[in-house]
Amino acid sequence: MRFVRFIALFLFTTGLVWLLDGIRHPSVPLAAGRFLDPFHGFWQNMEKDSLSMPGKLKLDGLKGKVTVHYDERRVPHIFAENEHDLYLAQGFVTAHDRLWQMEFQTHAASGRLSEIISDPRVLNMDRLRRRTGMVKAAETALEAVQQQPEYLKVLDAYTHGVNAYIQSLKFKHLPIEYKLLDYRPEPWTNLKTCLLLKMMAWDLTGGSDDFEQTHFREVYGAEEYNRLFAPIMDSVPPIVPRGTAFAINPVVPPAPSRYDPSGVYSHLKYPKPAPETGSNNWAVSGSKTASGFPILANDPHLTLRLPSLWYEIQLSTPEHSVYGVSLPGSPCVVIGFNRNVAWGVTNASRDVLDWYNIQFTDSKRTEYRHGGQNKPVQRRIETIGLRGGGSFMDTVLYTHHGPVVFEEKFSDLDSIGPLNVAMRWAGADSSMEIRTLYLLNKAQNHSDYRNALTSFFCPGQNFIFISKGGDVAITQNGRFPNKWKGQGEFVLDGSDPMHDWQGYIPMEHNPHVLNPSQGFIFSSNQVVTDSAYPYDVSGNYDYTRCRRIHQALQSMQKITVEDMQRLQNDNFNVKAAEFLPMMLAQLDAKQLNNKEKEWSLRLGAWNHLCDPELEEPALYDFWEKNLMAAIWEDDSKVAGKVLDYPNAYLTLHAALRKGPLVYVDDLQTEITETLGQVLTATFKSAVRDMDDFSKNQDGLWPTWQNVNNVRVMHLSRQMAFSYDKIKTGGNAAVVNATRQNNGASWRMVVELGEKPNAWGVYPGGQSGNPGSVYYANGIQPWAEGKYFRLHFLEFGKPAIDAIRFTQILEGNNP
Amino acid sequence: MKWILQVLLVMVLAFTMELFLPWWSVAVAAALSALMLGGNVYRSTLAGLLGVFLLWYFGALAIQAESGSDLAERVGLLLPGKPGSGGVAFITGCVGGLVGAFSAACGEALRRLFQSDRP
Repeated sequence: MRFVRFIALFLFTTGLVWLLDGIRHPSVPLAAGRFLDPFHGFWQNMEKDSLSMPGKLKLDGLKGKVTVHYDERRVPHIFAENEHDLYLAQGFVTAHDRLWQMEFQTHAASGRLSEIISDPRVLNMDRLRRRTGMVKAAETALEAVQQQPEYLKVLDAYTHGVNAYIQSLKFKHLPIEYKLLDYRPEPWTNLKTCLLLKMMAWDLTGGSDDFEQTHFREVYGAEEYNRLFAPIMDSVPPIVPRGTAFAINPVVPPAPSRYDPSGVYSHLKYPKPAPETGSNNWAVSGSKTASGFPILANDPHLTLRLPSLWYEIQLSTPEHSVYGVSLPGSPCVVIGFNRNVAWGVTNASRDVLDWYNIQFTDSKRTEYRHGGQNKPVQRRIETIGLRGGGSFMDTVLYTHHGPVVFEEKFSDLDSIGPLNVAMRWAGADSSMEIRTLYLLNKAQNHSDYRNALTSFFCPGQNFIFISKGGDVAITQNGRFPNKWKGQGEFVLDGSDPMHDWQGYIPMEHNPHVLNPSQGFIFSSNQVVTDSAYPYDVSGNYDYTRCRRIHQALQSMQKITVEDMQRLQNDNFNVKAAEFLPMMLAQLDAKQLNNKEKEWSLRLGAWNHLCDPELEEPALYDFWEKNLMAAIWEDDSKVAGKVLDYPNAYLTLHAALRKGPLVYVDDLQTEITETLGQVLTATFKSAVRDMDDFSKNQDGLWPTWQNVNNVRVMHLSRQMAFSYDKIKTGGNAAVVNATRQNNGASWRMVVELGEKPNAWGVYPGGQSGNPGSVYYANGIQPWAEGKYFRLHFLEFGKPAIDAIRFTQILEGNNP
Repeated sequence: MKWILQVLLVMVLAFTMELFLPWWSVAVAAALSALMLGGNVYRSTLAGLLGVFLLWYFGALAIQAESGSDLAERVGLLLPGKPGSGGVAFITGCVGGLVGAFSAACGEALRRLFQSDRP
């Protein structure tokens, strides 16, 4: 009897411990014992000052001694005796602060999130990643690096450093996310670094609205499409100053005589290109600055996340030293400066992703039609591991265009009939972006910069540059497909060789400007040139920020670093300033009640600043949103398919400047609405939206900061590790393009004098640990438009005041 | 008196074992304490419960007091009822105490197995 009791108790207790020791079933989402234990669990992630590290560490693989100074924001300044040690230490130090993020992002990039999260939506995300060929693209990139020992060495050293950290990790020091989701880090590989860079390329070039544009063109015709969607070339300042001649001999491929894309693609869930949010960079030459030295500014805008996308770092050997932001998971600095040069990037926003309708010749889909022949289909089997065991198998069919992303086995509707769409993406081609970063880090002058860029293919970026010697330059750099006019704006015919990509525009034909007479250059995702450039430059462009920046830089003289910081935080809404007076003038006053009249007067008196405490920007935003919906949504409904429509700027431009715009009429009513009627109705509903906002948000006042609700979300989307309701201004189409979860992911201003005078800030912190004081310490200063001085330390000089902690790393064999 | 000793033994053993072993070593500590100092099943169970509860609850509170971080509050947002940091420390103690209680009962049952052979 006693024996039975003991056995029963023993089994029960071990069962209890087993249950609390791991996530045994999705319905029990926490390994409570393991997670809560104060001596190993999450409590150990609560850091006192985040500087309690050993002063000396043995690091297997180091050839010499490495000194790492951490400054007051925990930015590591690495001083190594040679490059191998430098990149090894970068890997080690970065992994120490950002390991979970590095691995999670590469798991997401390679479609492996289902291994750690059990959720059908996550499985669908993983499938889309696999089907867009992300892993294959990273493998192709790695093969290219493996041909070049010079750069392979850099990747190897970094990977070694990351793995040295992973091997040294005990459970109690695991990042909290591992403990929460109950899994362990796996070894880092060079492939993961390539995956991360490919994911970045995809984030910037992977969106597409080709399906919706195809619908639009089919319903309204090619002429109408061109009229509404073509980039406005006459009123915006392009990246290359207007009137610049292009001494190039272009070879543009011939267009097919007929091109009538059609089809129904509404059910395909594919992300759109980022709307009006975007990045800025500019450079002014010494002739326009107070100091006489050139100044460079860059604020790349991206989805804001925690842990932050960027990791600040200084990398030094006796030969060279560079400071800037790096991508956790990749060696080198991506945006930054050294003693002699500074550089930054914005997205080129050109269309480098197209879709092809594929005709398979047989039901087994082993061949497809192309150029009057049958061509073989390649198959790649993707095995997606599932949390809790088992796996999901997916077969991806490859044509010479690329993977057949959407087909009968992967779409949300089966009733549509046969539909097979393959993706052609510039990012899938062999590339060597890591070479560019490595060489830019060491660049001394303009020709080094130009040489570095020759291997950066995708994502296409506007690389801006200044040198201590006084040069200012910008290059729209990347490999852009050489298209006939209109190619790839709609779904292409995969069987017609004339629809194939006919190679890339030679990189030496990419637009480039050096020391223009105006004394400044800039980019803000606007169109790259005026119509003199002989190649097709279709893409998604900015029409507002470019005008504000151009006007500011043109009028400014004796420019200081502070002036450039102010411009990065400029909240002036060019779009509202241009269109609002016309919109208000068309309001039908007879239909407005007193409250609405009062609001219309306030909007008329508004200074067009999107400041956080104002209400006018919120009302304008509601009005514009309602107006866009009123103009376009009925057209989609009546057409029965999701139509793409021109962005708000193009729409307002067409309706108010060019007019009359026939789409203003609501097709669902008997009468024909005029623009004035639609403006009045949408204004009235915008005033209602302001009231509703307060009602729905517990009386929260509809100020711009509350309506915009700027937030920085943790990668897991857990609110507990995120920050929202951040008090800051800005909007899409405003230089400070801060919109909801989008905004300046890094603001940097560098003046290259005797010593670099550099300033920067990002909405996050150096540590990825939510239990560290350095997790989000940058958010508040970022929101207020403040900057930190970036300490560019000299090799071998004694430590400065800003240093809080110094760590020595040494190899095992002295 | 012996009972208080038993509670202290659970705490000391659990704390020491946790320096080298994972969290579940608290179960072994509670069981061992009952084996060594037990006698009454209720007292042993209570000693296991209290010993691990106190160790974990005050361990968590100490870390909370020393740290400059609000992580415990954030973790509270993930738990049912969204407790504050003190609540999370209390839940921590309870989870530990639960394991301690059953482990001690188990140790007591084992002790009685050996006792049964005696006259």
